[in-house]
Amino acid sequence: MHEELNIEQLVQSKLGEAEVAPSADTWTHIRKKVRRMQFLKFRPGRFNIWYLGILLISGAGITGELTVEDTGSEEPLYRETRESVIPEAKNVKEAVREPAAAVEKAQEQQERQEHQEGNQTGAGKKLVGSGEILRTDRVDPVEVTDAPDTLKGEEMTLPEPVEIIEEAPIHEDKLPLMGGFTSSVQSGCAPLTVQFRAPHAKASTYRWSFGTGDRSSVPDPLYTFREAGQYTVLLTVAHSDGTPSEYRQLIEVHPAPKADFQIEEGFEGIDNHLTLNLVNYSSEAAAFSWSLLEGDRNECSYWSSEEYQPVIRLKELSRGTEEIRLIVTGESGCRDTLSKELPVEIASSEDRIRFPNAFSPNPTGPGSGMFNPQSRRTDLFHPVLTEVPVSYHLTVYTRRGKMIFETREVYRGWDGYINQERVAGGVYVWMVEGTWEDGAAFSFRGDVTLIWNELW
Amino acid sequence: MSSEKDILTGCVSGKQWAQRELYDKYARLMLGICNRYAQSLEEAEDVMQEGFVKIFLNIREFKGDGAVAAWMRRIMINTAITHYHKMKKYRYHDDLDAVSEVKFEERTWGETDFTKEELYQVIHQMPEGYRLVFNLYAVEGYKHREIAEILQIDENTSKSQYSRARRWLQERLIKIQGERSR
Repeated sequence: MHEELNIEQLVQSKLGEAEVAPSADTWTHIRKKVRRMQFLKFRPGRFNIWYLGILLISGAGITGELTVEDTGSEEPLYRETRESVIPEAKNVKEAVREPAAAVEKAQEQQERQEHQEGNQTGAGKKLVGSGEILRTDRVDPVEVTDAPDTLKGEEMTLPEPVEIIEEAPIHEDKLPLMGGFTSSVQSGCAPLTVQFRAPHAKASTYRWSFGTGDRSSVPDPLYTFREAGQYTVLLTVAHSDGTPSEYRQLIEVHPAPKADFQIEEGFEGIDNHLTLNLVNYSSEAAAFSWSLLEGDRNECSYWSSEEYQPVIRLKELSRGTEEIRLIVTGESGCRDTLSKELPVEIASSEDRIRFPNAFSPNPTGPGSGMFNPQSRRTDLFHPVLTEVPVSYHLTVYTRRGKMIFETREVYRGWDGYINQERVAGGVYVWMVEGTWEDGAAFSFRGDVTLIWNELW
Repeated sequence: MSSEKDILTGCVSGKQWAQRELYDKYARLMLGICNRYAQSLEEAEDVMQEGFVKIFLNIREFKGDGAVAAWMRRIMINTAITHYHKMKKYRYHDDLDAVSEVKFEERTWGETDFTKEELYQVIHQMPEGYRLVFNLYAVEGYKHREIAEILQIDENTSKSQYSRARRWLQERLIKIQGERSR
């Protein structure tokens, strides 16, 4: 059977409950670490005895010690980190290792015995009366009495500063990950300006590194990330006693999209609609929203598009529309907007055809008169069309009423010549008649001034 | 083999036999989880070790409600996240441009298209940010809002990372299939 799974289902079904065999020595590593941590773990019942011992041996060292812990990170502090902080304690610790190992052995032996008896007596003892075996208050005293006498004796005499380490509480749903300093925002669109504030501490120096190569030494820097990326901001605080603390935080700068487009005029379809092709040059954008704006910057309600490169038919546009606006949205929600003026003046439906009031023919000789409606030629007398008529008849007359030019071809204009001869400069009258695609007939007349320009 | 209750009681009192039994019972499953969050099996083992140490030291925090496996699973995932943040500064990451902008077509897969090992290998190669968000959302079933809180990122970042991640993954799987059929 061939099941159709999407990518989530595939990974879930194959790896969701997958098992992988650990290598043989993994348990040994875990056991060693746990042994060590259990031995070093702070137990409230013994706090006073140890505290006294520490006071006697390391004296004033303890005060510095505790302040370090106050400003320290959330991670549990291990023996290794402490050793570097309190050099005096080191010698003591070396001496401690041997007995510690012996104690571990003793404990292990005892455990093994207990386990053998476990199901009869050992486990029964702890299960007395209730199912709530896991409650802390009940278990704690057991653990204290658990330890063999020898171990107790040893521990009491150990002036071990490490013993006061409190176990870091474990948050099941959200472990403290970063921290120390605050930042006004943790993520945003480029360029992103972030106000950082150092933790309040009696510090002598601050060293900020923004992950961009830039650095700062003021306590509360204001910094702008120009480029998109993930930056680990690192703050190193050197306390007055010389001990450093390090804090980190992740700042994510989303790429800012850039809206850009060009408006190109073109044709479309068998009936040669004039169109505006919106050519998209935007970058870093995932979504596009096009709209038309009227002169008062209000959005036109009759047209909008979410396409990448929409095409607008000129005849769809209604009068008063002046601008095309593009809003782009990046994948992270960052936006950019660009508006451009329409390259053509939008005529109302009555103005589907319009004629210039002057033109200046080519003085070097007549041409074919054919024109490309995309180009606005000034050497030909021709109309500007937003729609191509079904029928069309243009005539041009002298002021005395003599017809000197006639055409039924929409894309043929008058070049200012009759029978290869120039006509005189001045005012001419034109008339046009025809029918639009929608059946409406049109008929207009007007005049146009012909200007000969020898410098043409 | 002792009952789970006995094992837990034993773990609470720090008994090695109990810890060993808990480990034997769940290590394979936990490594299966960690392996999804790591870039190699070695790293996964490190995370699992760290996770088990936390479990043994904090077993008292387990309130007995729900399965111990689910509780352990959460600790493993949290450990993996902490590990990710710890390692982050030592690693080069190129999460941002790892996915091309071309239009991508969704597709579906058959259960037997890939082996477990192949999928693990692909996940190991995934850019770290993708891997984390993909695992949390697709496999663990966290909501983007929760992921945003856990990772201290923007909710939208989680969403966009996720969509890039699943795309990255699919493109890679398609490539593997392509290479196989050649």
